[in-house]
Amino acid sequence: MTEIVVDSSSIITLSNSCLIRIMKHLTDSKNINFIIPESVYLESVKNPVKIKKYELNAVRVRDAVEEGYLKVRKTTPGVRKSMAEMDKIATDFCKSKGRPIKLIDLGEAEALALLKETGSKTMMIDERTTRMLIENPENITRFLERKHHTQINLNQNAVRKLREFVGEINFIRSVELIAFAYETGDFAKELHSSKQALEAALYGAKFSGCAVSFDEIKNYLRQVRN
Amino acid sequence: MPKRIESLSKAFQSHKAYDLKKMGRDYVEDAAVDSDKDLAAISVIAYCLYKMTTKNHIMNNPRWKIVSQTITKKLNSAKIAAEKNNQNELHTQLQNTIGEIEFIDNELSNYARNVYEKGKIKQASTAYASGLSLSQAAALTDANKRELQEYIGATRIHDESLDKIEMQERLEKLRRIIE
Repeated sequence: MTEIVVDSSSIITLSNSCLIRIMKHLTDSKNINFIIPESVYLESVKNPVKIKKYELNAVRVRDAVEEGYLKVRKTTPGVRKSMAEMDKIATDFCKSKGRPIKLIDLGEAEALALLKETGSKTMMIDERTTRMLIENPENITRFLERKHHTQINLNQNAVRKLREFVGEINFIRSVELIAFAYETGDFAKELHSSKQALEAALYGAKFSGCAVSFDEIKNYLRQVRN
Repeated sequence: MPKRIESLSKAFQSHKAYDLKKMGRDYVEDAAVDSDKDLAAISVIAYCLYKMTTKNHIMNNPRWKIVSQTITKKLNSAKIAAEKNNQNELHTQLQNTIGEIEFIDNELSNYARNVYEKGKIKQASTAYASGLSLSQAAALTDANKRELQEYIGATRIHDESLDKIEMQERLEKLRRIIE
């Protein structure tokens, strides 16, 4: 069984684009365990289900949990401790004019803490910053310098601690999950299996906020057969 | 902070829409670096005032004169609080200013989503574009995370080339993990 920790950003994308059941089909066919932190459940279901504007998506996520293909992990004392540790590392990560810049919030910290708690090596996250922070911290520093027109100092000790904290980790986004489901035939259980349907789903994910560029999608689609 | 509020108030009184818009963007970028929620609120106010001063049906409404005077007074009170370094009072006066904006917008707007809600999303998207995470950007302006993500999805923010790992490579990793 493969465990994938899912951040709220990917839940937003998949529920918005009506492709959340792809997780169910992949759970059935590939024995994948999709897990979310308790806070993501509260944020995606408990609170928005009371607001008409957000109710439909909240019901979709609640159904996924009730059907059992999206599992909610309680925030244990261990997760809380890891969250605090993660939060501290993230706060120490970089500084501008001697002051720390806090790039990530407790929401993302909890997903990373859950990764540590479960020992999972894969995280699905559609937002950009958390992924970049771990995959390419030097790049995010350059990016911040460009955006804020000021020198940003990266704390190499915090980078090392972060890498130790999360270990070897694979980040995927909802677009890769959709593409994978297309290959396995699980996509066809939701939409007919054609290149056009795949393209539509990938752009749907992008327009729902998945951090993927037009070029990436185009490059990928070039090697998909009709 | 007092100088920023004063600049905002002056630009508002002289209907300098472009200046208000620019202030909104500059302030939220600074707020992102400092995790400064009050500065982020000032940025949202700047955005709202920019939007409102560009709408003829609001500017030409007979009630606008009184409302704009009230907003100016509240901004002045916020400036005084900032000068005295009275954080609680500053926060209260900023919330009062927002209250006035929401009131007039609810009365006169043609849209279901009010200008304040839009302002929180718009400014949070600038904070995200400048490097904050989605949750951190949403928390900075108290924007709804789902709406923020949807808004960002409709922009070109994610088309800036930052990822070294492309879709094919991530997909290949996923295949290896699962198969």
